[in-house]
Amino acid sequence: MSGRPDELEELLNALVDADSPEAIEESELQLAEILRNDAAARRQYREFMELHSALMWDYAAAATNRSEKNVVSLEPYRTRWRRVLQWAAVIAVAGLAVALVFAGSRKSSHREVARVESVEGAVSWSNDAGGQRVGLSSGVGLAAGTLSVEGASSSAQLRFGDGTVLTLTGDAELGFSDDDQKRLALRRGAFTARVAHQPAGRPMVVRTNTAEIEVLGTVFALASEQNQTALNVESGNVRMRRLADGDAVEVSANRVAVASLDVGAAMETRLQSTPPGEWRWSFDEPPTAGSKGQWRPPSAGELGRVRSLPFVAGHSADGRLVVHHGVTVRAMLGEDSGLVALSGRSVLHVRFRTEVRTGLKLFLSCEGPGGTFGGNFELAIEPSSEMPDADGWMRVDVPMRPLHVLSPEHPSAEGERVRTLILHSYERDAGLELAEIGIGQEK
Amino acid sequence: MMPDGLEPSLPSADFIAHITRAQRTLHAFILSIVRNAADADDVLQEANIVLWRKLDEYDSTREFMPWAMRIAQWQALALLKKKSRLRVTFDDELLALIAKEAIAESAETDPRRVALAGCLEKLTDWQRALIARRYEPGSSVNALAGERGISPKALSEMLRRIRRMLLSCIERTLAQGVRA
Repeated sequence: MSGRPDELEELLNALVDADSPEAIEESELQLAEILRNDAAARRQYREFMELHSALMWDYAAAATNRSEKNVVSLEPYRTRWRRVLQWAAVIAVAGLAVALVFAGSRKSSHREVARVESVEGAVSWSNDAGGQRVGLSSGVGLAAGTLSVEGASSSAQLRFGDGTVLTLTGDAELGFSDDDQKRLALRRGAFTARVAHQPAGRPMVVRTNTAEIEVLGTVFALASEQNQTALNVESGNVRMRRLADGDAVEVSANRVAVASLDVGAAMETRLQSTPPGEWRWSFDEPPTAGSKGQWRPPSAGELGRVRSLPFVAGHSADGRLVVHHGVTVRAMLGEDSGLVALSGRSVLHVRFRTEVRTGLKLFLSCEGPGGTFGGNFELAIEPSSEMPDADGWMRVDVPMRPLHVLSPEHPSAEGERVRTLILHSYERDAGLELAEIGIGQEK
Repeated sequence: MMPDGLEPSLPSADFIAHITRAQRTLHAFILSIVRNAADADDVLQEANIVLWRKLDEYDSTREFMPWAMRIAQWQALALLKKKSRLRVTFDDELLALIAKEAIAESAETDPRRVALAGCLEKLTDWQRALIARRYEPGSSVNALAGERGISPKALSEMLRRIRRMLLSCIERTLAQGVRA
């Protein structure tokens, strides 16, 4: 065989996987040179294209093997399409094939698959065909596409035709489709799901950067970062597979699993943790991943602190972006207990300073005991009448009642776990710096 | 009413069985000529229609597959000419050679496909999931890589290894079959 065997293999794979016409043409040019004078290479080419073709026909078989083991069953979309095509061979006989094959598939891309149940903040939808809708509101029907939620205080709830409800909270991006089988791609952020019973063999499939999960009907929360995905199951069973090596685990009710890029450890589950009743952070050390603000380490008599950064809080009625300045504190991914559990006697302790005297707000995003969305709340912190210390720091203790309810379907924060806190000024940048924050119990 | 050119000769059950069984082999054959999955789908449909039109020309005493493949070859070349891709990379002579060898060895394709079914079962779950995702309609390596947070190059490498495993497994399976 002329040329290196590896070279031929690389060219064959490049030919079928390259996305740009230029890359394909480059592979074809080199390939043609090899194939012209080499019968063995032509045989290898033929066998490779046979495999490529067979996988197009059989891709569903690859998945169906798993369903036999009750592990997964991806939608036999291609198979169904192929079956139609196969019938077309006979129907070609009647000359109707092309129209039949394409009529259905083109319509389905515009079909409404879910409806927006509720929205807070900046939420938009787009799809691959260039469709885009910004400033979504309740009741809007959506075709398959991508839902984007901007800002830690934003959220959106989607309801599918079968009653399945997804709630995206904070910065999140979720691709979704429902063509006989629900397929979701959580590209960033978190969502919780209350999944209606799915048809046998067609579980809801969710992919993230690091994991794939399959759901037949259950309640769970899923959060994804670049390098890991955390799954928290409230009821039912969910199968989670780590993409890095294919290792998988069944996650049952009240258990948690994390899939990361670290394939050294076996995939395993653990019981959900009990959240503490009190919690306090200072910033002599950098805040956890997911928290947001400009960290300034302690130095020469200055406290370690985090300065506020602008964040998108939502859209105004005229479509204008609403930007606030604040410090975001978030429980680590996989810390299923959240930061702290709220009670009727919870008190906020905060040490901060601002460049101008102003009121602040505390935004809280909460979870229920199973990690599912527990509602968003807000607490106003009025300008204190007390004088700041010599360095401008103020320490305030504010009873956390009544909390302003931002998610009407979750009217009470009692017993909820705090996942995210944002201390912020209103639309102006007040130069807020945060040195300490905590939630305790009234004595 | 039948569309133009579709004379309603009644096909025999054998002819329908032949044309149905030939679909996968024809698709693979067409793909090796047009090198593009969407084009191969289109050509296969065109070829099916032509096969039907030429029903009366089919000599049932001869093998069906070489006859069908030659018709598919014409359709594939017609599409390439229409798209002006013929002379850019794979020329007439090379395509004729590829087609001739494929037709001569068309009997080999069925055993390879049977072997593939067993080889797919030997993949790990994540390998099957990756292949399944890659071969969904409209899938692309760039999009898949984006979903998984890895580079397209890294994903291509994963796919290359899986295809190599499958091809090696098919060879081993066929070799064992011969020895048995």
